[in-house]
Amino acid sequence: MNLGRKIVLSFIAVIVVFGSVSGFATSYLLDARMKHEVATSEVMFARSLSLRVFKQVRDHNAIQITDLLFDEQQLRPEKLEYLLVVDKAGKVLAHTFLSPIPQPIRDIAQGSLKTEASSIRAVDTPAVFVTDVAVPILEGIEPIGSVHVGLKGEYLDALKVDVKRLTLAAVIGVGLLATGIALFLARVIVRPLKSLTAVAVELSNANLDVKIPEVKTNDEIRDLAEAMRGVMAALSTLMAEIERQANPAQSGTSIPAAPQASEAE
Amino acid sequence: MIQLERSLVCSLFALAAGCQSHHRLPEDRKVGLSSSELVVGMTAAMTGSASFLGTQTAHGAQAWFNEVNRTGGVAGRQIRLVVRDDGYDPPRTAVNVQALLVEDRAFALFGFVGTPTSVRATPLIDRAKVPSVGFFTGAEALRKPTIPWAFHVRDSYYAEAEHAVAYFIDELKLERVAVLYQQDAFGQAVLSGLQLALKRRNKVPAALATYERGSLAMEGPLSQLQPSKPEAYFMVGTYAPLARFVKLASSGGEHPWFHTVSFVGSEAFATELTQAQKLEPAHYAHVLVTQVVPSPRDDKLPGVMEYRALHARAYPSDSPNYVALEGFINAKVLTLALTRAGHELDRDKLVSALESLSNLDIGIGRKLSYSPTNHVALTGVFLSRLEPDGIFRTF
Repeated sequence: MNLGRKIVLSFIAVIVVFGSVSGFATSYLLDARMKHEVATSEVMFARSLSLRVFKQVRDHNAIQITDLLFDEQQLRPEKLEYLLVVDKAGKVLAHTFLSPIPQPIRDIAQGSLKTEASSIRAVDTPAVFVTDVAVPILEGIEPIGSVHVGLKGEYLDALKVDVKRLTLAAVIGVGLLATGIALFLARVIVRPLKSLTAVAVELSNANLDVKIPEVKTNDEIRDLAEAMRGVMAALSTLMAEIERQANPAQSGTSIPAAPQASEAE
Repeated sequence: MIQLERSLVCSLFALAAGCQSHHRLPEDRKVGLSSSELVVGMTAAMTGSASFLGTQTAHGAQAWFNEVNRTGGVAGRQIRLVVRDDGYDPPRTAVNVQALLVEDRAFALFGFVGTPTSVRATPLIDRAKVPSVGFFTGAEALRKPTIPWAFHVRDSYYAEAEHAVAYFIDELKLERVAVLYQQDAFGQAVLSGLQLALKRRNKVPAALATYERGSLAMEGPLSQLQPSKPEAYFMVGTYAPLARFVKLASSGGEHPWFHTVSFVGSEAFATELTQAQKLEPAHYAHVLVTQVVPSPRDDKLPGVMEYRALHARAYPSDSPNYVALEGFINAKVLTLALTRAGHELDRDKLVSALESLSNLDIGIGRKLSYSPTNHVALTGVFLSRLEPDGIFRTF
C-alpha cells in the first residue's frame, strides 16, 4: 500500500468513526429530547381539554363530550390515535374509537385516578402502539375524572426516522468531505515526494544532469529537496575531480562541470 | 414508497440504534358479518321535527330487506337493520355512528337523513373506512370531492335547483324570483345551487331572507321579500314553516309560484298545506317540489309498483311516499352490491362491488351507475306539483 492510499484511508476511517459515534449520540439525545417535548406539549393539550369538558363530566353529558373529542381528534388525525375521557369510577365516559377500545387502553383508563399528576406511558402491544398522555380533571384538588390523549406510535416513529435520516445524511456528507480533504492532502504530500524519488532514481543511474524540482512549501519535503541538491553538488564536484585525475593530458586546464552540464541540455 | 424508504433507513440503522418497525394489526374488515347474518347500521331522525323523514326512510328500507330475507337473504346472510335515533341533531349523529360501529358492530352504514347530520358523520365514515350507502341530502359538500366510502343514490341539490330555475325562468319566463332559506348548512347548500343556476342565466335573486331552524314566524321574512314583488319564491327549509310561508304569501290577492327541494318531505308538506294551513285549492298548482325519485304512486314503473306492494305489506298503516321510496331504492342498491360481492365479503369488496354497479335497471325509469370516480348513482330530477286531491304528483 502506498503512502497516498494510507493517508486517504486513515483519514476517512478517523472521520467516519468519529462522525458516526457523535452522529448517533446526537441522534439518540435528540430523539429522547423530542419525545419529551412532544409528550409535554400533549400534556398541555390534555390540560386544556380537561378544563373544557369539566362541566360535561360533572353532568355526565356523554354526547357533548364525544362531539368535542371527535372535533379535536379530526384536527390532528395524523398525530392522535384517540382521545378518551374517564369518570371518577374509571368508567369510560366518551372516546373517539370507532372499533372496540383495546384492552391495554381500558386498563390504563381504569387505573388513571391513582395519581393526581400527569402521566406519560408508552403502550406497545400487537393491538395498539401509542403513547398515552393522561391528566386528571380536577374539582379543587379532587379528581373527578381524567383526559387521555393517545399519540400514534407511528407518528413518533416517523419523527425518529426523520432524525436518523438527518444523521445518516450528515455522516455521509462528512465522509465525502473527509475523502476530498484526504485526496487533496495526499496530492500535496505525495507528489513532490514522487518527483524527488524520480530524481534519486536518475542519480542512481549516474545521471548528474537531472534538475531537482523546486519545492515551494516550507516543510520537511523542501529540506529533503535541499539535501538532495547538496548531494548532487557534492557528487558533481567529486565526479569532475575523478575525471580530471583520470585524463590530465586531454583536459590541460580544468574545465568546470557546470558548462558541460548546460551543453548537454 | 415511504414504507420502502423507511424500511431501508431502518435496515441501515438496524445495528447502530435498533430501529424497530411498528405496525398495528390490519383493521377488521369483516366486522358485522357472521355466516348467517349481516348487520347494517342506520342513524336518522326517528323523533322530532324531521321524524317523518327518518322513519319513512327506515320503513322503505326495511320493506325491501324483509323481502330479501324472506327469499333467502344476500349470499346466504339475513340482513339485520339496526336503527339509532339522532333526532336530526349532529352531535347525536356522531355518537350514534360510533355506537353502531363499536357496540352494534355494523358492517356497513345506511340511510343518513339531513345535511348537517351527514356532514358530521362523514369524517367518521372516512376514518373507519366503512362503506356507507344512501344519504337523504343533496348537499354538494358531501359529493365533491368524492368520499371513498360514501355512496349517494339521489341527485344533488344543485341539480334540483337547476331544474326549478329552468322551469321558472326558461319555461314560465318569470323575471323576479326571491329566496327564503333556513339559516344552516342545508339552507346555504341549496341557496348556492339556486344562485349558480340563476347566474348561468345572468340573473340574481330579487331578494333574500333567512329564518332560524324551527321558527314558524314567517311574517318577518315575508315582509323582507314582498317589496321586490317576486313572481316566484324558492324556499329552503322544513315542511311546517314553509307551509306557513306559502299560506301567508298567497293571501291578499297574490298568486305567486313556490318551489322547494325534495328534503321537505312532500307528503308531510302536503298535509301541512292542505290541513294545518288550509291553503285555498286555487293556489295548489303553484306549489312545486322537485323530486329525485319517481312518484311513489306511479302505476307504470315495475320498481315503483313493487315498492308499493312491499311497503304496504311491511307497514300497512303507512301511505306510499317519496321518502320511503327513496329508502327502498337505497336499500336495493346496497343489497345488489352485496349480492355482487358474494359470500366471501369484506368492506373493501363491498366498495369495489358498489363501484362496479353500472347501467343498473331496477324498474324506476332511470338506470343507476357508480364508478370509482362517481359515487352518485342516479341523475335526474322530477318536478311535482300539489294536485287538487292534496297529493304531490310529478308532471
